[in-house]
Amino acid sequence: MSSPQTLAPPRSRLRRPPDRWWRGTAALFALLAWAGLAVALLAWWRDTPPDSIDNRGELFVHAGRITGLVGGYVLLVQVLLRSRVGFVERAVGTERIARWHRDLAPVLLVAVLAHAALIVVGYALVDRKTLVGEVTVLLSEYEDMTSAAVATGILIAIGLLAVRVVRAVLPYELWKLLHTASYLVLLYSYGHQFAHGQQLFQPGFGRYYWLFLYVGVVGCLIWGRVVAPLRLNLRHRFQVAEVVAESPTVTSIYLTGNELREAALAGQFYRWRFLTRGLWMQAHPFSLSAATRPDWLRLTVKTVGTHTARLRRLRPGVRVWAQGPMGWFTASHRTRNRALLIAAGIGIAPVRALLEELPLRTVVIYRARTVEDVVLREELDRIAEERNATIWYVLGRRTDPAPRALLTGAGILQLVPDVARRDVYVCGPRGFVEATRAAVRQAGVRRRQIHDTIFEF
Amino acid sequence: MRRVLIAVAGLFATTALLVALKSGPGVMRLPDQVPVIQRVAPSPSAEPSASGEPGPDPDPADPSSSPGPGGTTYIGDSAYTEFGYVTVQITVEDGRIVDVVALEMPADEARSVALSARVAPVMRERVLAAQSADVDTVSGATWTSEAYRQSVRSALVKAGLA
Repeated sequence: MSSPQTLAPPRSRLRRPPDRWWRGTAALFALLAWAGLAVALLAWWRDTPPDSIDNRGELFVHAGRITGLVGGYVLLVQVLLRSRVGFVERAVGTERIARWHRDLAPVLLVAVLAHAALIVVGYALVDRKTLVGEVTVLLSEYEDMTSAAVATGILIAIGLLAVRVVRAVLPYELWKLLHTASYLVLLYSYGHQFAHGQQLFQPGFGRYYWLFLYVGVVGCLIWGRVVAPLRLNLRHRFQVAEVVAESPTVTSIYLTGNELREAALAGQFYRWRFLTRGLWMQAHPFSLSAATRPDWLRLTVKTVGTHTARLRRLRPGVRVWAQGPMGWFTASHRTRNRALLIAAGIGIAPVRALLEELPLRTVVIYRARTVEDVVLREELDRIAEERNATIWYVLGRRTDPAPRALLTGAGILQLVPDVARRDVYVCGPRGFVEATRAAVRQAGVRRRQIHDTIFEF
Repeated sequence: MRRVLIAVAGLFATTALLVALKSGPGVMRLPDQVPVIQRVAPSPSAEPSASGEPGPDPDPADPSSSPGPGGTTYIGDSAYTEFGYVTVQITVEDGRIVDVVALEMPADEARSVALSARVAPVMRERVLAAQSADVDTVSGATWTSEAYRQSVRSALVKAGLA
């Protein structure tokens, strides 16, 4: 069981036509999110009669209300994006979620700070108080306002932690733990929203809408973070079966469990948490490196740090807690009947799995630094033979002629003349994936034919 | 990074636009230059005849005063604050204020509701203790307290106690 003995096409999934339902779902999600924001602002619009803002104080207060609604809404979107709930993961896609979450974070911070500043200035003008006096009254007399201030402080702290320089210094686990504090922002800020929000404090459209948003998002959070993982792990009960060294720096882990065939599509990944001393604290995304079999599945991991180094010493029988499956990097997301797979380094893992599920005559380009860095070669060649696929091993340093040519449109066309009529799957480090995307686009491949997975360490 | 800048600029532009659309003339003046508006519509207190002739015996036809078993009630004029109107009713028995009730307190904003809930009971106690409208304002609620005093003062005038 140490290596796959039969590599024959494992199931009828192969002949399934490409799925098209997923196309544009991210755009639909974005559209709904924008519409939701518009509805939140509509509550303000309905509550504010025309010409009712008639002095500078009111001007600031109303601007503060608008930014407050935007801030509160964006906070909920941020939590929803990170809820891991299935429909968001599928509709938006893991990488886009990460990007949106990152891009929205500064917007949230700016909206919240603008809200606080505008309200303080506005109230001070209306009450004819100094700014300090107004802040004192707000914090001492208003219910839930101290916790709102704490929430703002946490938000600022998280914003500072997320600055690239700071983030690079902190260990990943510590950073992640601190980032978890963002849930406190939700906890500490909702009180003042419902107690003092002009659109929320009394029964009416605004309040009901906001309640609906809160119930929905918290429900998704509980589902995605608690219920769904519980169900998944109770169903599959993953367990380490064997650990195999593929090369000095690459390790394969074989897992057993129940109903494994349904566990994932080739090319997908789970976040794995190995429940043993020294490892259980962290969950990491690792792709499956073979299509799922009834009795085992396999992940292949490159050693990049202490955590991945410890994986080598995993004992059979260790239970594994998984979250997933995730990822769009699957055969069912293709748009054509031919495919080109491009992998760099350990990016070969999901590509190796996908090769089993993609149509015959698929082309694989495998980019590695030296011949020693090439892993899974034996199986790749064997599957290639069975499935009539072509594998190009492109070896050398980044500056060598062949690897350089690979990152140009002409170079791709030379290896795969019909590339424009294929779906292109790219997997590897960010720089490689982005450069390859550009090259493939140059070679005439349309954007929606390109699928990628970025490995970040 | 560019997307973030666009989003932040969009946030500010949208906020400015929405506020501008709902703004009336003179929006840039300071709040203390806002003219004090007299209530036009007749309210329970808006009968001018009551305050016109202060006398020991209130006019029985005056709707703002009504004798009852526990004394005679007088409704003060509504006084305006930034947040809304304050209307106070006092009950007088044997020349003494025996009860003070706020008939109307500002409630059109979340914070004015909270403020009103804080001001009304405190001011009631103070007026009852001092038997007069000349009481201290509640800290952090100067304007609402002031309106409360004004309304009590006018009710006292109607009752002939001022």
